[in-house]
Amino acid sequence: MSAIEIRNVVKNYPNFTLGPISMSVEQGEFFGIFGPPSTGKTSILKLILGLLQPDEGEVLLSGQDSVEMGVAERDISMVFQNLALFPHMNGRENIIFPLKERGVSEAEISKQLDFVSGVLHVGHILEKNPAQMSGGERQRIALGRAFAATSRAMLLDEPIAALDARLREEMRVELKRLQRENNQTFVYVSHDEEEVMAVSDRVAVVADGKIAQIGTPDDVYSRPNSMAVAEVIGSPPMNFFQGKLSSDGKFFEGDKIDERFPLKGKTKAGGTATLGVRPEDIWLGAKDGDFGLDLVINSVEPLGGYTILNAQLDEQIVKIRAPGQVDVPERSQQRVTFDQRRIHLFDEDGIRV
Amino acid sequence: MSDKSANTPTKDGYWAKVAQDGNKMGFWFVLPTVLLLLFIVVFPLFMQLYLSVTWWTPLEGIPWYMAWEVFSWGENYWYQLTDPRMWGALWRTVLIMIVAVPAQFFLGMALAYLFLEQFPGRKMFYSIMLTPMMIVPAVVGLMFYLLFQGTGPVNAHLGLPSNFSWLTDVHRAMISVIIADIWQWTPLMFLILLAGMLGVPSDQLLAARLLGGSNWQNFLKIIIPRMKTVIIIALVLRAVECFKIFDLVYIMTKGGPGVQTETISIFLYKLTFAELEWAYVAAIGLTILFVLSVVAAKGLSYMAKKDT
Amino acid sequence: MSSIQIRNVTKRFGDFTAVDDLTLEIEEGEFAALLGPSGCGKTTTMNMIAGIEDVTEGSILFDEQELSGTRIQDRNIGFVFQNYAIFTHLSVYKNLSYGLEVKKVAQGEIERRVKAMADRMSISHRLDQPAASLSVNEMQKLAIGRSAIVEPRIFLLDEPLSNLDAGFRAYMRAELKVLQHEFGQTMIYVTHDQIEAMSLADKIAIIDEGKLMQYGTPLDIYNSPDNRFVAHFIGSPRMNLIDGELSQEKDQLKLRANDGAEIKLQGQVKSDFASDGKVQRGSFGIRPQDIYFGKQRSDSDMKMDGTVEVLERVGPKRLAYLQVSETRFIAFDDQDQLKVGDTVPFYLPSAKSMAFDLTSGRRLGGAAK
Repeated sequence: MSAIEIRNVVKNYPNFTLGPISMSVEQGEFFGIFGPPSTGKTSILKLILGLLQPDEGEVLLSGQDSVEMGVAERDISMVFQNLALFPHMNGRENIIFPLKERGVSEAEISKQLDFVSGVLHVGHILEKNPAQMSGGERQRIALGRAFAATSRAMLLDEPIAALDARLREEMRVELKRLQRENNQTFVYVSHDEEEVMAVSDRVAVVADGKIAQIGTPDDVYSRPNSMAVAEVIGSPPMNFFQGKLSSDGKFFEGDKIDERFPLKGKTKAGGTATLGVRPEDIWLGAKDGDFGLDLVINSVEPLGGYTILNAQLDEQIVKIRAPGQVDVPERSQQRVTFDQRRIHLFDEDGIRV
Repeated sequence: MSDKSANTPTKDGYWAKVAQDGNKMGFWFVLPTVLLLLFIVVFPLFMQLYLSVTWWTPLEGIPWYMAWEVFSWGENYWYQLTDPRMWGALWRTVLIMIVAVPAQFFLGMALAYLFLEQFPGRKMFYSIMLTPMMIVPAVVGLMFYLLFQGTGPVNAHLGLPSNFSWLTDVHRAMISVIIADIWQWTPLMFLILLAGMLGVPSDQLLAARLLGGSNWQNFLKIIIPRMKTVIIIALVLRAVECFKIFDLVYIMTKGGPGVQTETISIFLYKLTFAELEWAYVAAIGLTILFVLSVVAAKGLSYMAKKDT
Repeated sequence: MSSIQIRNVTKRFGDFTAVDDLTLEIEEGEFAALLGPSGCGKTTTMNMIAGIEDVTEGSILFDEQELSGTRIQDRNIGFVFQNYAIFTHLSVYKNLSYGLEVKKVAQGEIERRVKAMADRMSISHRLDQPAASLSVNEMQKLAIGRSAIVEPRIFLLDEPLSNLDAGFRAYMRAELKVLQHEFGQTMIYVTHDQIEAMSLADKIAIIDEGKLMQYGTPLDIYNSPDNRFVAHFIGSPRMNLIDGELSQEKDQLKLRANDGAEIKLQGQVKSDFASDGKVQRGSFGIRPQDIYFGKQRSDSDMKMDGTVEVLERVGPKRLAYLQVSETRFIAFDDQDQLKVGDTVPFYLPSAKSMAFDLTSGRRLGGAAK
């Protein structure tokens, strides 16, 4: 039985409908929810927490329908995007607040406090007020408050979005470690694709108010089941080429590509289709037997460990990711090869073929 | 807020429900004020309306609610239109308004612009700037009464003889009143306009300067357009208040010499207390209320159409 | 377009020194990035170039001409704000034409140029609409167009892409590069995102706490960082930097990390550390992509044993966080074979390792790698 299960839930808003969505989060799992801003990700968290009730469908907690449960009874902690620390309380008071509210004994409170402050390294800021803390410190206190009350699950709504890059990277590792060491169930919402992919055991990709795909980061990255997923996962994003499938289903004919692209195995015949290739699956240079193209390189972005090349195909910019540092002059024409094992085909509805 | 499963069980009872519903709570909080308003404003308004269609004056000998005995229909309203004294008062009031209000406006705007940037002593000057507005109008009236005396400081400084009168001269009385009004109320314009100016995003102003705009160009193209709402509020507010000008005029000139500075308010005052023509005054009062409301509404509707 | 000379510029706000003796020469038509963590003084430097702040000491010159005393409106600079500062009460057209109107350019000319610029920035279809109704992405294009249309001699951009979503940001990076080539202006670009700086700039100036750390091309800075700060700041994922004490035991030179791990130095990096006898506290630098697993490839490569603590997926690759005592090494799990909890040997190639003096941050040895 899953720790959290959402079954065919629908929530109606004036301009927008969330759902029907179904997903389940297992005990001890780090579950990520990813999607562009304002697509209902926070609403999913609120439905789990009980701040919102579904218009249709059920939210089950450990197999039990939660419709009768009040927020406090659900035993779920949440870390909000704006942290929502109590400004008039210091660090310690903020962290032990939920425990005090539940009437936990003093001994237990102090034990939890020690545990939490050890794990999050906040011992030295317990006496400070939120106004005196830095962004990273506030972050950790907010996490401490959610952690202190051991709960069935922890919901995190973009908890590290406000921090600068370096602190974000550190916090990611800390969160992952915390989650694993305590075998906690985490549901983590973010619109930063890299972040969600890095930390989650499984990811749900939300698009247009529905869940487009659920799977491990690997699944979602290497085998996106629709264009909606393929275009938001991966940075730089996947390159897409419009075209159609040949009548015998063996070739892809791109609108702007002269040669026909041979497909491994046979797919359905005819019909419009889109070919997707990730930047790292396009290689510089020709490879015998493999499909290649001549493209003009507009600009080269040397990023040290790898290089991004922007190539022009008609009006489209094709992004190529080459390992290491390459010496390609701008404005030159280069031959590039597509890795045939790693192409993605989508039909006219954007579904994987 | 109206979820099917609210977390805390609601106790039954009207007042408990009220505690949970923002709208209901609002109603009860506002009720005392509404009742007060009804009593102080709405009731007298109806009383006034009632009186305005009668010939009643306190000399009639009957209590006011029996005024129906001297019903007159619209005679009072008709009489207004042909009363030269009324028109004279009206004209003079409008004159004061169209001179004083624009003057205050431009002065206030100029001062606000000066105060936009920090400069040494800004806080101190700011407080000084606001003082005229905070003095009781009657006292301001007295102040200018003394200043504009034939033997007073104004004449002394201008090197004018003591028989050069301000307050009793046919033309100059008006001027003195206008000057007093400008002195007293420019700070209000200044305050409102400065607040509006401070609401103009400073980075947009900076962007305009970086694009090569001079201070004057930026003022016209960025600051003024973004202040449209505030400007209208300031002008409508002041214009309506100015129309009602009374204290200053009464103390300085009592409406004189003769009726040279008799504004509508002074006229109505005299009519009420000297001539006891209460029904007539009621009629005029309502007419003015109506006209000013239309003007204010027009101004405000223009403001509602504007957006930034 | 102009060249820019920043000579010994210092800026103080009361007791706080925001910019400390900064000297930088930017060539005509060059795209220079001012890169550094928030609060390092890069925006203050840019404000001084624009004239928004004045210089406490030193001087800023355009084409060798002293600038102090020239008013902001006369400097002929294009400036793109982080939050765009679009004139929200005007239409898109009026926003674009503002710079030309204040110069009293003829109406016909204005119309022609506005239409051309709107076309170029792909916002022609929005010309008559109020600027406030544009999406964030379109506003950014409008901000750039508005500044570019007056053909300024230099272009200053203050973190212009930070408000955009990731997908659009990648697209705009490519666009900005193209635009800069087209317009040919000297561009100064302030950012805290090193990927942005690396991908866009001809030269990067890394600034920390008001001081210039290094100024060079992206690859120069990446391959040969002058000091520890630069080495740590540039590169994604970050370079591993192991700080600790150097100790010499007979022939062995070891670096004992503050949090436990011990590296027996060999090869080039050993001689780098040994090159300055006065250095006692050092920092060992190795980039994640240079750490490898499996068989040792060279005798001078240093072997370490570590436990896999966390595995993170970053795009097509997997990052492994290896724990040696309390010290953490980050490496790429190229073969996708590692599992959390495994204890594996890994190698630090001496040829790719870098030595830094921990006290001063200076790079030791420094044979160009």
